[in-house]
Amino acid sequence: MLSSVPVLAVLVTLGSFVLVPVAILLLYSFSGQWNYPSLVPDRFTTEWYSYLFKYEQGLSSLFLSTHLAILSTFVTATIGVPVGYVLARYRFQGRTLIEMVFLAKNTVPVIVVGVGTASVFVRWGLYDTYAGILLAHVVGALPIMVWNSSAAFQSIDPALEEAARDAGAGFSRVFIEISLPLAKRGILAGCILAFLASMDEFTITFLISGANYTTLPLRLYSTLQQGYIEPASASAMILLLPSVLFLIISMKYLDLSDVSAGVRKGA
Amino acid sequence: VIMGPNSPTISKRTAKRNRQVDLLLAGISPRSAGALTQIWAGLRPVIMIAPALAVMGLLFILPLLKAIELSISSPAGFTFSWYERFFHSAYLWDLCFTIGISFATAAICALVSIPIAFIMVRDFRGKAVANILILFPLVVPHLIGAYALWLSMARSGPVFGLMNNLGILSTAPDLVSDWRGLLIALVWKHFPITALTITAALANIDRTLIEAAQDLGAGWSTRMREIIFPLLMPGVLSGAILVFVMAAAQFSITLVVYSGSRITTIPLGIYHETFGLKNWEFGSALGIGLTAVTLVILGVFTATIRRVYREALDA
Repeated sequence: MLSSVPVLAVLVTLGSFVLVPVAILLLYSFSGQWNYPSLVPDRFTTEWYSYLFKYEQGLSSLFLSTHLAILSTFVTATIGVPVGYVLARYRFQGRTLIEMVFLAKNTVPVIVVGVGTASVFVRWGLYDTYAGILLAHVVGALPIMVWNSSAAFQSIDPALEEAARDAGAGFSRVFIEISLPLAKRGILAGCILAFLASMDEFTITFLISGANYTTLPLRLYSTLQQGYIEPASASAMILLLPSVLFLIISMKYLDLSDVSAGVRKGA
Repeated sequence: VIMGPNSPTISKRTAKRNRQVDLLLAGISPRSAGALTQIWAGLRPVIMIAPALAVMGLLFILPLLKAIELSISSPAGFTFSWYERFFHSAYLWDLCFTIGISFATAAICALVSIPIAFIMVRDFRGKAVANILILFPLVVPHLIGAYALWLSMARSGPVFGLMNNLGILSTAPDLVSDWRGLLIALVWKHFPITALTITAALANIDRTLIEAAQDLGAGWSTRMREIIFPLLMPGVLSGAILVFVMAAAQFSITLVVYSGSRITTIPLGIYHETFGLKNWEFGSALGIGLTAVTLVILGVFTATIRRVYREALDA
């Protein structure tokens, strides 16, 4: 049995390593004036947040990122959950190949795929279009959704589905009334991860969008480059909100096993 | 005599019943007996995976093939000259740097995660909070994590300000645009991966093995050395290789905390060549080169893990 002193030491070190940078970000977002070497800002203000909401471009980026994330989560779930089911329930020729496609996604650097995507998008007329960005976000989140829902379906006892089938229910009825409800926690966790992946997506969006579409991460990067530390911190805090909400939801309703497949194999 | 359903000597009704019996024996319910229904049932998984596979094909495999094609093309046709140029340029050092810093990230993540895993497999007050602390960097968007660390590592930032006030550090190291700063940012973002995999591996170790060793008189250090670590190694290594691959591919974190430095990473080099200098062929060759090196390391590492794992099972 380890004593509680080293345990506490590890946890405090872990906590400060994880949280101090975010705390500093939070302080910068409310900072009116911060002189070295003060530990906290000398003057606090909320003007950077109101600036973000008043400033038309900031607001449009927030709006664009939010509906891109919602729409791409919806599309990803619609096409990804059935794949998860097939991988969990069917044995067929070429199955390994399909698994490889969804696993290979995270062994190829995203910038390499991004360069190829930008090059084909120019030819297809998808460069700097909403549809192009949406597709890129879908493909980014698809493996997470596939692996997470596959793990969720695998944990369902097949006897339950068979019983429904023996009672005369057709395939789609069994899928909708038995399999989906039983896998809903894993699928919901997959949806949240897909939403966060879309909010997080920077690299490919950066390469395939021009002046027309600037998502919140792109706006944040350009604000950063211009050296506006406090406004950038405020928009970073806004962009951080969905992640914090996810942690709260996961603490209350989900547990680690609901997200581990998607994180390990798809992220 | 076995009569097929199409045999003219039996009535239509008997044929139908025979077919139903055959299907029942084959495990298919009579409701789905029609030939069309059966074809439909066979096509169902194909239809279910087709849209997702099409998306992956058009937006992952095709762009990847496009990058490969670009990397071997020139106005005169097929060429390997972009790869030759890669191996005769400073990018070779950048490749070594990328691999080196990713390896260091993976090693540090694995090392710091081992004590975390030993704590997280037990029950204690505040475990839910510890869980959140571990998951937090994983869900924070890359750009924001990188930006928060960039702010914290600034020479005139509050962290070094506090250290200076307390007299711990008189001159702050310049971590921004330095490899140490990049390493800190990469570890911050990726240690949850190793923490989760190593915790899972530790939780899976059969308790009775440890108890048996204890009964046979093995002390704490012997148990650690002979039982726990050999069984834990596959989990440690598989978590570490995952971190290695992710760190080697990292673009956005590096862009924020490391830009402006002379030696750069290959992902930053790819961006510089393609979007900066408009040399898409050379940029693609850098990308395919990095992918190939990463895959080779991944393959060798995975084979090693398998071997270690088999030895652990044999022991």
